[in-house]
Amino acid sequence: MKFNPSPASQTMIEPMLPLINIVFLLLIFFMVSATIAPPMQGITPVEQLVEDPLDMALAPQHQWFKLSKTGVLMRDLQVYQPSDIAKHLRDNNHIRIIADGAITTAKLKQISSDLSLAGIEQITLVTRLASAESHQ
Amino acid sequence: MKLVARPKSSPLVSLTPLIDVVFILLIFFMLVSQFSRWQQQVLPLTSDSKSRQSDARHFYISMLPKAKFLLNERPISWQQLISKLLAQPNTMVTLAPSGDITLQQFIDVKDRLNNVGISNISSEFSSDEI
Repeated sequence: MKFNPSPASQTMIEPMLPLINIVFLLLIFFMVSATIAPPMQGITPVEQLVEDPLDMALAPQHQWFKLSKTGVLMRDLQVYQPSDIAKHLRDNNHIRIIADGAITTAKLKQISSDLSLAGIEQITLVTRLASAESHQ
Repeated sequence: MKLVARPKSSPLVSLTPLIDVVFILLIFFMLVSQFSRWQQQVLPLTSDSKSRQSDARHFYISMLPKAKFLLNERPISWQQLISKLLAQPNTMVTLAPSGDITLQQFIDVKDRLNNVGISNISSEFSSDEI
């Protein structure tokens, strides 16, 4: 008499495996997406509540210039003088600057005057959208 | 012949604690990750300075350190300033921070004016630091 092995004696496959697969995928997604943006290199961007989204297709992040609170303009770890910047711009002497929020308006006025003398026609300040809670 | 059902065999290694740890890590990264929403503001290249004299159609607001304000060169509190601006909503406003006001402070005040419905704001930066 041949006995078939009862189903109860067969090794049970862990039923939670698909859930673990999905959770790992989500985890890897959030770990990777959190590191896509390049670091701001010591600059604390200005935050604003008013929404005026920047068109990233027209102004990709690698074209922005960083302005430190001491008034130093940089891009890709290279320091630029306002007089030299015009030749590094691609579109109509329009510069996008992400400035440290701690820079004084006097320094900013000086920088914008120097850029204007260098032939820059428009300066756009890149800011971050703030949540209402963080601004209370 | 009485057959006794054998108990189901459980997996060799329990994966429940692993799932707990992975969920905790997932929630951690979901909370920590922030997707930046970049905005823009056009900076004035030339100062659009208006007359600082008292003008019923134009408010010239000077921002001084320690949250002090001047309206057409007269000291005024924030609440009084808002009341005056709301009383004449179509008036042009020029916001002029002193040189040692930080950019973030300037943007904060501009946001607060926008919040109360004042959107016609021009900016005038000064090179002088107090």
